[in-house]
Amino acid sequence: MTAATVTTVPPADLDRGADRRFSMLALAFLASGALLALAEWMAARGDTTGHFYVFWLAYFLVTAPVAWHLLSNRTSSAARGALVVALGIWSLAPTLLRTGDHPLFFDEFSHFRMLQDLVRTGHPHSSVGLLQIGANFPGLELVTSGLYHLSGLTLWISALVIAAGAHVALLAGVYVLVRDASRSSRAAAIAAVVYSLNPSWLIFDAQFSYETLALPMLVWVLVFALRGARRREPGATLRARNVQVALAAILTTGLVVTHSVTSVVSAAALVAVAIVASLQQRGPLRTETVTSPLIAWSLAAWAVVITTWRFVDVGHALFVYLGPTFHFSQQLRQLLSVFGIGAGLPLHSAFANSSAPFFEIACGYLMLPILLVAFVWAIWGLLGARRRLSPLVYVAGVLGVLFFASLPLASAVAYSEAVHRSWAFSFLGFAVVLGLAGGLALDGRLSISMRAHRLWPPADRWSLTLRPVIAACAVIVAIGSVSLGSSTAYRFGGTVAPEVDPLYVGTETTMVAQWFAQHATSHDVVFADRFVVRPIAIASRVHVVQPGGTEVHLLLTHTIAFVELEAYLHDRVTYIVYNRQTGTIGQVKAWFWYVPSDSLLPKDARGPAYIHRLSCLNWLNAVFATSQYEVLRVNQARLAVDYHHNLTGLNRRCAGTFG
Amino acid sequence: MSVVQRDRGASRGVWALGTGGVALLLVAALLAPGGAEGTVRTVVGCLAVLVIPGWLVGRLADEDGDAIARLVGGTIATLAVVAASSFAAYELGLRVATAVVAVPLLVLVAAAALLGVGAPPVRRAPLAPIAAALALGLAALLGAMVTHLALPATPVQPAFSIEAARAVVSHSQVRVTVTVTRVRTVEPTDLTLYVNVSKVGLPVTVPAGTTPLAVTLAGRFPAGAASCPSRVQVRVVASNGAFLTPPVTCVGR
Repeated sequence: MTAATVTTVPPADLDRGADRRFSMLALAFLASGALLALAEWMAARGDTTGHFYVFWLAYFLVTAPVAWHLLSNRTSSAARGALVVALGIWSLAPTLLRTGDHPLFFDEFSHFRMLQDLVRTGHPHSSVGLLQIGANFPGLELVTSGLYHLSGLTLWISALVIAAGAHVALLAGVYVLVRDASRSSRAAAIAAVVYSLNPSWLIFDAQFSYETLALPMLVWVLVFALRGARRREPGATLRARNVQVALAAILTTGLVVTHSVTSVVSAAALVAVAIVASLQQRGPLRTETVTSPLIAWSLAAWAVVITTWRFVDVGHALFVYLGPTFHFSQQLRQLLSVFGIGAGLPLHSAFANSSAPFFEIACGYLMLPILLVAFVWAIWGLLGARRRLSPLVYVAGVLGVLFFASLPLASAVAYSEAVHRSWAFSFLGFAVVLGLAGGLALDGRLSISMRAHRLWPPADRWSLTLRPVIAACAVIVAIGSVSLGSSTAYRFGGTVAPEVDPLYVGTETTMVAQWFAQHATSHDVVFADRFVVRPIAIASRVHVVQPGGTEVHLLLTHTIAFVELEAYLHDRVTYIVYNRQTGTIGQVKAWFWYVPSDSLLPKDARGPAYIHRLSCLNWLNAVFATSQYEVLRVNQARLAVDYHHNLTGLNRRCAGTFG
Repeated sequence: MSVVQRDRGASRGVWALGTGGVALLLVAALLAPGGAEGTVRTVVGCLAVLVIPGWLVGRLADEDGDAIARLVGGTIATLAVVAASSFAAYELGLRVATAVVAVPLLVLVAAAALLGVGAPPVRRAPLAPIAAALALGLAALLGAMVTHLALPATPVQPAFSIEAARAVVSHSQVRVTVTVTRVRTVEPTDLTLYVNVSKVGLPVTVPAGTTPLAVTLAGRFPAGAASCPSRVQVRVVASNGAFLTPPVTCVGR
């Protein structure tokens, strides 16, 4: 391909052309970064629509030429690799601009506090109020603390460096994975581009979270496992293979201390690879591919053993944490309801109250049939080439199918979050399948027929029409996945809004957090809503009580029950923080909505909040207040006296006047 | 160049990199934070954790001469080693700090260098793709950063805070000093003092001007108010409803 060009164009002209193309690309990257910053700035100043257009201009200013170069047959393999990594680095910009120099997203606060505790004490700690399961899977924090200890970077910068490196490694891993499977850098480039359309990739929910490190580890486990299991020519050195197998095993080990679900996916994928490799050797899938079942089974066995060990070791805590997500009877009920069998689960409307413009919402819906058509086309096409396929393709096919299977659950309130997170895995399947099929199609080696009718490659008269159609579909999926992947509040800044994640962070939360940093100690225990408690937790060393705990009943029940007072005593709560608007804007359930056990709340806890009651309890003192937040210190001794005398401590005259 | 010469050159390179990696790790572990020494430590530490071990490890597994796969794959594997070894150390009761991270990395770098020296020659991996990727990616981040800094600052949320550590109550008087801080707001315009449910005096206007500022609210203790301090609640209410109920200190009662 390239050779034909080289023979007709003088090398000096080629160099000049390459230099010019590189300069133009560099300018596009520079301008795109500037436009992304402009879009964020416009949004933060209250713009309602213009910033979306600026954002998409910035997006396509980079992705369009990069995609063009990646697909061009004049681009070298090395240049493709470089462009994929450059795309990965560029994609850090939107979230870096959004978060700035501190954690902002929900999970980030939790993981960052765990990191702070790890650095302070030398041991991972789980804070029940922030991250129940954290200390059992502290891989990300351990790695970040390692960089912190050896480099002297600040904790947040260390976290960003690890997150950025992992983010780039994920895309590069997808590229290498598919290049190994196809021996085509063009197929690999298509796969990388498809993965970059993953709804949680460009605007990830959290830069610093379990999956940040776990996902690239998973991809590189597969890279090294498949490389290690690949049969060599007779006489070839075994050292590289041994190292690859060892690296796959090491990555699997690192993975099981980093993230629970990803380690299960990794083990399942390795088992599936081993099964397919065995079937390809002597079963119905007999092929020309050369994956060693022995090595594949060895790695799969290691992954299963070590994952099982970790799960058994963590035990009950993991069951409590993951149980609600993997409530299979509920999931089945929702799936059956799609076919009209029985009643489904409570649903929420996609894009409800979304401030995204119409074209983004439309693309969010349109991308689903486009993905389905593309996936069916790819699988159909690959079936014709199944004798040459890597076992990876079968694993990828299953992952891709799971995306469509997950869609009925996406609108169920109980599962939307889990489904959204699962798409990071599903898109790995899409990337592999579409990358391989796309690579074959571009090389003219993909054919699809039905009853003697050739469906692919299309007739010449359709070929020219098809290209802009495919490009338009790619644009729709790109826009749709971003709009479907995260709320606009995650993508852009804006006016501070209490009870909206992450827009609740602003001057007031900073004031409250700084007050705690100055006044509270590590012996203090704070009960606050799920929003403000996060900035408090990372600004100070206080312990945090679960926002959905019994303590919240004090604000939600019509009469004060002693079990509520007992909770404050039992948890040794020394501070309460609440927003005076609770229950007057939004809904009271915002205090505890993410806690799966909210059905345990008293029935009368769904009404208004009795927040001013707190100012009339003799065991509480309001010592700090902002425009909307109140910080109250709990007098534990006085509360204990009241409790033992069967008193609530409520001054009824006060409650009648101020409550 | 003969194969033997190339092998010797490659071996020397791996030796140099391995020795350099070990040296950098030791330097990073021993240098103090802060100042010029701290800056050196930052650069050295990043190289010692994120670049050199990854390159040496990735080189052993690389059969294609691909610098990107070599560096990125090796670095992710290095991070997995750090995660697994630090976790093992924690399980063994060790404190996860510099030594727990540095020792496994030293072993990894030394092992990778030794294996690399004894290994058959591998294909050269030109660094140009990494340089090009970094140049393009950093151009985007530079554009974003410069624009972000060049644009006027976005307005922050208007808010105020009030704070009072305690209220002092004597036979005849109640006194509270409230610290008021304002950010882009004129609130609170005034503060009102209550003892139990009785208003004490008139609302006090909070003066405009630089904050934080201390505003003292004082008034006559209401006749017939309960004994101090168990039955007395002093309350400061801001114009927007924000309130303080500081602990009461009784003087001479």
